[in-house]
Amino acid sequence: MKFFDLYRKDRWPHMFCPGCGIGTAMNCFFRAFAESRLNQDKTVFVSGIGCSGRIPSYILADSLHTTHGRPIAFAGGIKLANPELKVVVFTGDGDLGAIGGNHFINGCRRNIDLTVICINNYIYGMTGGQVSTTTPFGYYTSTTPYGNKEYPFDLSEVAVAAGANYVTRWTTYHVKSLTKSIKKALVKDGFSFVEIVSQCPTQFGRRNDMISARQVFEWLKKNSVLHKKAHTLVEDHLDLNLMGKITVGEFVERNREAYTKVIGVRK
Amino acid sequence: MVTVINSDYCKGCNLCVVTCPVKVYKEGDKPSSRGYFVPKIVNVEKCMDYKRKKGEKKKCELCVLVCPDQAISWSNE
Ligand SMILES: Cc1ncc(C[n+]2csc(CCOP(=O)(O)OP(=O)(O)O)c2C)c(N)n1
Ligand code: SF4
Ligand code: SF4
Ligand code: SF4
Repeated sequence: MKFFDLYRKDRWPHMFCPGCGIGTAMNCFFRAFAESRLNQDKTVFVSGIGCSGRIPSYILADSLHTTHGRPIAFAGGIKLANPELKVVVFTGDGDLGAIGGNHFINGCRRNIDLTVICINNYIYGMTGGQVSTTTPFGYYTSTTPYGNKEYPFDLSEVAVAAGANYVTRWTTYHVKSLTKSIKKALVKDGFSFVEIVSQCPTQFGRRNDMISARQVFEWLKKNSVLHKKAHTLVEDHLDLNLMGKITVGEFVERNREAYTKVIGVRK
Repeated sequence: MVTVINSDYCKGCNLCVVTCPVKVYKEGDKPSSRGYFVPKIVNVEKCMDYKRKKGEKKKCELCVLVCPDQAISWSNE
């Protein structure tokens, strides 16, 4: 299978704004999926609501566009009903970290066999640029005109603490590493979590002095610090993330038994 | 083998211009029929995959992976 074979060409060009990182995230995912030689007829793509939730509608395979914040709950149901299927979830930072926060931590805790891909663009893109649980401290959104006064979530660290089997984070600038990590996540048993920090020039960029996609993209590149390096710095790496730095890399790799095996629906 | 830009898909974001390590792309100066400034391909012979033969392993391909609109592809592949 070639990597363009997975796209629904009849729906092209897609609805995403010029320079939106979701397109890049899709490229890396499709490349990883094609290289892993997985069967698209034995895979279900599940998404919540938001710009990132639109991804499955561009994939030539069965998909489920669920309610806001609930894709992990729906996906878990699919996996338990038919454990032969591979289940991939696409979600956004608002979808996963805010309204769906509980499904996220409990999905990690149960270690249910899903590959969850979160497009973290630091904002609610689709609904007009409201502050999200991951918006860095001090940054501007349509609902924080004086700068964000709340400390953000670090989604990857939450997943590590909650018990996911595989956790990794990259930005849309790190296309090669990201593709490699998605490949790993796709074959990993149990809960695997891939966070993709992505540019939303329309809602996040233009409110934070970055009017073009190119500027946000370069900002992501400039602010990324390798996870391994960050741990040897004097600063706490969580503090780095609070201020808009992005620690990237692989955060954890465990081999805990997957939920479907523990409860005996899959051998 | 060279890269080509499909001007029906390109939205002129210029991420390819920023990404290419050897500056194969240059910002466009004329709007396309859809109103976007599609980048121009200049000094293509500098591309790390220039003259790559069919089926040979790709060396760089960063622009193809980064382009959010799937507008870049390889010619004669
Ligand atoms: C129950 C419910 N509450 C609120 C909404 C409105 N809503 C739609 S998308 C969205 C935020 C999406 O943000 P995010 O998950 O970050 O996705 P993005 O658009 O940034 O990719 C909200 C609040 C909704 N659709 N359903
Ligand atoms: S609003 Fe933001 S996330 Fe949504 S398509 Fe536009 S750039 Fe992408
Ligand atoms: S990255 Fe793609 S969409 Fe953006 S300017 Fe280049 S060819 Fe066009
Ligand atoms: S393959 Fe690499 S070197 Fe060639 S045009 Fe694309 S980014 Fe530039």
